[in-house]
Amino acid sequence: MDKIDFSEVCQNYRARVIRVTPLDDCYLLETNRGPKELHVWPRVDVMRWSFAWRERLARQGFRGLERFIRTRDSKPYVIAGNQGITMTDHVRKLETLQPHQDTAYQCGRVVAMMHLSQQESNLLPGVEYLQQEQMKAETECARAKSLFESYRAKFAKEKGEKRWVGSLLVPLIQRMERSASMLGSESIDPDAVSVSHRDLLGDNWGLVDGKLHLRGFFRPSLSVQQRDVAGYLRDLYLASGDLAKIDSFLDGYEEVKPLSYADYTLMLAFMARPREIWRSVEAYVNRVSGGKEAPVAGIEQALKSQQAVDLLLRHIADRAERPRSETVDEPL
Amino acid sequence: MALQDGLLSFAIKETIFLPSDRAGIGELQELELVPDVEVLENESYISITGCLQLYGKYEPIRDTAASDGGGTETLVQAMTFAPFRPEGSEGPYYGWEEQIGHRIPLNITIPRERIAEIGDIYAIVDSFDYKLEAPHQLLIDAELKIAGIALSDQTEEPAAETFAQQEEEEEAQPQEEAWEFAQVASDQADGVPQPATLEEIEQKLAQLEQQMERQAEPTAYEEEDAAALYDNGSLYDAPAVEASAREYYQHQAYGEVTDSYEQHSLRPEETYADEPVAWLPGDEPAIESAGYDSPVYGTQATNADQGEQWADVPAQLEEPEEATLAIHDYQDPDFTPVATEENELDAPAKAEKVAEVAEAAAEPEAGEEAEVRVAISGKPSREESGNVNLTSIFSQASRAKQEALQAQEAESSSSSSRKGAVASASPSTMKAMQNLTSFIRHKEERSSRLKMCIIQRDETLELISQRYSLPVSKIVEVNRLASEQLVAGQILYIPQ
Repeated sequence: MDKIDFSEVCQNYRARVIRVTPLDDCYLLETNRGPKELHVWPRVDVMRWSFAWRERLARQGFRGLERFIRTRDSKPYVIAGNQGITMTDHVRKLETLQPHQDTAYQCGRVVAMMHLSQQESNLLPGVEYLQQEQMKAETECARAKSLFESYRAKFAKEKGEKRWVGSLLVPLIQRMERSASMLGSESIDPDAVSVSHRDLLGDNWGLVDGKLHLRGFFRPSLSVQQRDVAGYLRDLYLASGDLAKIDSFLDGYEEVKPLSYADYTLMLAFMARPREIWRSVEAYVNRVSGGKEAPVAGIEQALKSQQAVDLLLRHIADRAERPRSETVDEPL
Repeated sequence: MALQDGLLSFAIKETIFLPSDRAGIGELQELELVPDVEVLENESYISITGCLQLYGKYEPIRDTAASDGGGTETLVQAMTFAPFRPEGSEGPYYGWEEQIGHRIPLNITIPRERIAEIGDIYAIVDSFDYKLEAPHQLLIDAELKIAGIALSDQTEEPAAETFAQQEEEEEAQPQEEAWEFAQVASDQADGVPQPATLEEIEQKLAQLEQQMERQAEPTAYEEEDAAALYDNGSLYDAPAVEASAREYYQHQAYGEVTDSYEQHSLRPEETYADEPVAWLPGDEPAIESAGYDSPVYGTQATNADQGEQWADVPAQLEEPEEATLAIHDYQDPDFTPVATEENELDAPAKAEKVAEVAEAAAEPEAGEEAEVRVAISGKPSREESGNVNLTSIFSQASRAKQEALQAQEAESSSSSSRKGAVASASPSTMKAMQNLTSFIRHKEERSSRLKMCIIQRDETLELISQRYSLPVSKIVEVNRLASEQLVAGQILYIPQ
């Protein structure tokens, strides 16, 4: 990473830097114009895309998000070498969002607006990201299978914990296969798939003066839109255990941007991946294969959350099927 | 005596459907069918009620969703996965094992007049097998045997005649005399001095009682035997029954008692087959010969007390199939071979005619029928062999010899009265003993457990022996294993 001359960058913004504090994913600049965040974008195209959807979202009426501050030349970013640099306001009084049913609904709406904004831009083709996801899913699946085979060959005779972990690999692989096959489902139109950020987390939300504030999304990791919703709903349900909030979110989302059956399919495909279990089982297997003792507490924990996720999966699947069955029942 | 074994055999076929919310059967680990029956005795019938309890353990099938397609036709289907753990279970679960519990109701009612003798009634499960039709469907195929009941229409005919005869004799002679003869016979057999004191008489009674138990209820030993040996027991029996039957009829037909008894006594004792012979002739031929010689034999007159259960024997013979047997709709009543009836039918004919020709004709028939019975009645005789020691064999043999001599004397002198008394005395004593034992052991019932274990992959004999706390040698012995190498899917019977 090239060394960034903060004074030079700040000159573009007509701001005088008093102090620079490196944070997790940005630099916090104390300037004469208030606290600012300086973000470095390794991928300029993603930065441009990000700028585009932010502006569109603001134009749609949602202003509770971090917009790029323009330079002296009215440019929203500074290009330094291969990297892009953006400056945004740093919000000090950001309250944590408590996920209530009505806020879930609002969040759903905002995410739908964000997705609409994102898909208006042609800068990043969604289909490539979908293919990446498919390949990744298949690779993971193959890896799990080979791990299972080697584990079984080695520990089939074992009893107790080791046998139990081995038995988990069968349903684990089943889910991974199912997820991979759903990603390649024929019902999905690759051209209709749009790009979004890979992870939409609870951290991306906050309240400023009682109003919903969307923050973050400076990382270059991208994926298809359904993935961030899937991840978000998964986290939301695991944190709250309330299916009503899930429904509120989806209601809000669908109010702005209707979800097709293909959208639901993709969403569930991402959600069905037993990520935690896979991670914990893989770690266990690797340790045990190396002749080390490994605790199964992590697997137990992952199993617990997976049980909850299974309920969510079925709930969303039911929701996805509902409109279809309703249309079937409609009198001619 | 072996022919009098009462073994009611029922084929049990039960299909068990697991509830859909239960995990399907992946691998069966243990399956056990335990009879839990109660014998209710009524004035008019004997009712054997209860159930067969099926216990089992299995490892559930994992890929249920995959196996039923699961598919991605609808999202709901697509989101149905094989569970990582059973529904509702919490916490760590390392050896996920599901249990099967199933009751097969059982109700067998037998009219009392059809029963010649009730010993210790017990139920055993024989030749237990299973078939996994589907993950939720298990087919159980077993054979239930009720032992301890002798049906009058199939096995007891000679005995019935004997008792009828004996009662005639008793009418003619005072009871003391019969006792005296019984004791004489016993003395001759056992070579002990005539009991003079009360203790000695009691001792004698106890001995007789033991003997009686062995003779009247040979099947009682089958419990252990069945558990230990399941099907293989029959291998031992064929010669046993055959031999005893042959000797029995030879004696009847030709009266070459001395020869046949010598054969018995000289017979090598190393084979199980010969064992019943050692004690059978001690009583039965004597009884039979008495029967032939008795002038009142054919009348079938009944004594009010003792003979009533034999009174309607001919009627039973006419309709032998009518014994009420209701066992859960679909069990076929499978009586011990009906063929024996022919034998019984022949017996009166022979007795009445006392014609050597007729008896000679009956002989091969009897041999055949004995073979038919083999599969069922064999086990006890083999088991009894375990209980016979050298002394008893010799004493029985010597008694047999002496009785044979008596018989010879009787024949030569044509004075049947004394020998008849000897013969009748013995059954009467036996009957008295029987009553005594049945009084003591009346309500006693036993059941035999046949537990089987289905060998899983990589399980060893050591593991199995540890699991059931049994020595390896015992398992090897019971299952007749050629080697200690186990194969997955192999079924081992676990003795209890």
